[in-house]
Amino acid sequence: MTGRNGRGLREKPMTIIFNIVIFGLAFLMLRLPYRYSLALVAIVVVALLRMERKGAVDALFSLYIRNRRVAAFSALICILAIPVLLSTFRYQSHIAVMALIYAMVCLGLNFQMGSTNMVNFAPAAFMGIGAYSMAVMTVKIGVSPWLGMLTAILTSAFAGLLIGLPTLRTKGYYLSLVTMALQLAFVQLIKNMPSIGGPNGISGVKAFSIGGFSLYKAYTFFGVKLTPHFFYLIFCAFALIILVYVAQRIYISRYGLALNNIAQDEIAANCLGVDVPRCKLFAFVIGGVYCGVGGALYASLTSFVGPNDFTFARSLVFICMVILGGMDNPIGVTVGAFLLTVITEKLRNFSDYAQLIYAVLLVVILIVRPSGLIPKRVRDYCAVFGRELLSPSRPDAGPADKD
Amino acid sequence: MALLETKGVSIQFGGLWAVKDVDFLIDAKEIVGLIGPNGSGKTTFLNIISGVYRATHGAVTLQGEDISALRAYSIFKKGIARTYQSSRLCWDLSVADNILTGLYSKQMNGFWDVILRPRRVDSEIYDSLQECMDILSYFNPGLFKRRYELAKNIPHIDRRRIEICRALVGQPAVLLLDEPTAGLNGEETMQMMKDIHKIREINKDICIIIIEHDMKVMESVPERIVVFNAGQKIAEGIYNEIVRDKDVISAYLGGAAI
Repeated sequence: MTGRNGRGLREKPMTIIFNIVIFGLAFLMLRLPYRYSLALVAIVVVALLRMERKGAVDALFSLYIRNRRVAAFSALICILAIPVLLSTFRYQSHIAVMALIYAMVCLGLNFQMGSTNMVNFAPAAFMGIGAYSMAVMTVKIGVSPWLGMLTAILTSAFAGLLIGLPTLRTKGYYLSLVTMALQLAFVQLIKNMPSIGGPNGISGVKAFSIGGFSLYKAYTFFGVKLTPHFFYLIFCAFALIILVYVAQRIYISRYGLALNNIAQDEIAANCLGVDVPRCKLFAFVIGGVYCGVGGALYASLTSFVGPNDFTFARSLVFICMVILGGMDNPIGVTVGAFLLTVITEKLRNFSDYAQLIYAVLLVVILIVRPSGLIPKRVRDYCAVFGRELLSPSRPDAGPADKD
Repeated sequence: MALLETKGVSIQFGGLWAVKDVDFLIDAKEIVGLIGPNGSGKTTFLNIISGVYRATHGAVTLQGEDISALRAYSIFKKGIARTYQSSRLCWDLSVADNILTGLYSKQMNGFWDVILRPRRVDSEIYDSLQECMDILSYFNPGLFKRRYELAKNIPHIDRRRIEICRALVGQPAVLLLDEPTAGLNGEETMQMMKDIHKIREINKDICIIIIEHDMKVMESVPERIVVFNAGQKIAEGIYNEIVRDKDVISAYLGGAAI
């Protein structure tokens, strides 16, 4: 035990340093000009691949779990530091907020694609349902954005339920085809509904505000003019933290386990007492909730929603983010969403080649590591709960082993 | 009253009656073996009992309750667990997770419990895991150390054990074993026979239905044998009667078997 305490003393500063490095890298990727930023992304990707192979990522995770208070507190400070450092850089702040919103949608998609192996080709449509609910509620009906967000969550979840029901009878490719059809139908539907703007979309979506204090407004502090994203970035970061936390808890719970079992073998899962249809619907509904949150935040950020923001191409980007980051690992998915958003935005300067570079990158990642940068982890309940399993010591169970 | 009973159970696939009019009884604490040539409907019969297929007609009753219309997950909750001819574990999950899945329907924590995770939920998961590890160690103490290894990296006989543990943790009343010794060599088959006896030590009231081709296993493990041929039950009795039965010899054992 003394050894453990001794290690603990050195571990705490280590945890803080790692947090500063991680968030510092994220900041630099956002802040640097595209050449350096992309070079940094490449270095981080290669480093992640190497670390994963050497087990360093696992070591880092267990370090964070052991020192969770220190890790959480220092991460919080780092997260608050990023908006401060970006406070006068409007475009970079915008990229940061977009990365957070995309990460939310990807987390939602991950419940279906990563956990349950149901490749949903319509995350953008779910996000669009959320964004349009937000826009309709705040612009057409004129209620508060908070109520708009609640509506967005409910409608997206309900959409998840509706899409989930017919897909219960289909599996694999057929399920994917159903969701593709939904995605395409959604865009056409929006374009052909003049009541919600048709192809012109809806503009003037309200910004969130807390008691009259708008979260999306250019404030001036001590003579420094902040970007309007300053508070919105913090707000989205906290929203994402909650969503990652919930996703992580579902992953380690019996529901996450049931979803993984369905992904592997539906019949076996069914014969183990897992209510397969209900679990599949759960994956769609909770995914809808995540996409709804992302959509509402997106609508409020851009203050405009149009059919072209929620196309099939956008859905493919979300799928790529999940694959790049690592299936069925909320942290990995978040990292994937962040990296891919940064790459896409930084490649804006060469929009002619952007798609090509983007595609090459994905192909390379898929060849080098099809399971993503930070693939799913074996569930270690004891580390999470901070309790050790007793080595079973029945008289006839052989020599009791300690580890 | 029998624990598990089937009356006139039949199932039709296209024009083929894979199982036809099978009447079958099993009591608590009983081990029954099913034998028969390939394609004689043994596995299909287990699939009907466990709810993978629904019988075209006939009834399956467990403790007097008709379960033939229930879905597989409800049947598992009623107390019928099974293993498969070729292991159907989750290869990319750890050993511990595979067994823990068997307790999915026993755990009480709901969605909000999972999100907010009060202390009792942690304890429930921890206790479930401990229970799984206790059962696993009973079959193979070495596997406790390998509990966080992926199931795909585990040797074949241990995969079978994991599958049996996964079925056993929920404390079922009936256990269906579909060829537990398939793919095992002679020595491993002996170990597996010991393991099947261990099942009874863990759960004294359990009744087991076992499909097997190895007549050595059939001789020593089950108390009663049921013989299938072309979807029908052609004989039933103790081992010594069965091996002398003319129909059984011509359908399955062949003249040279005895």
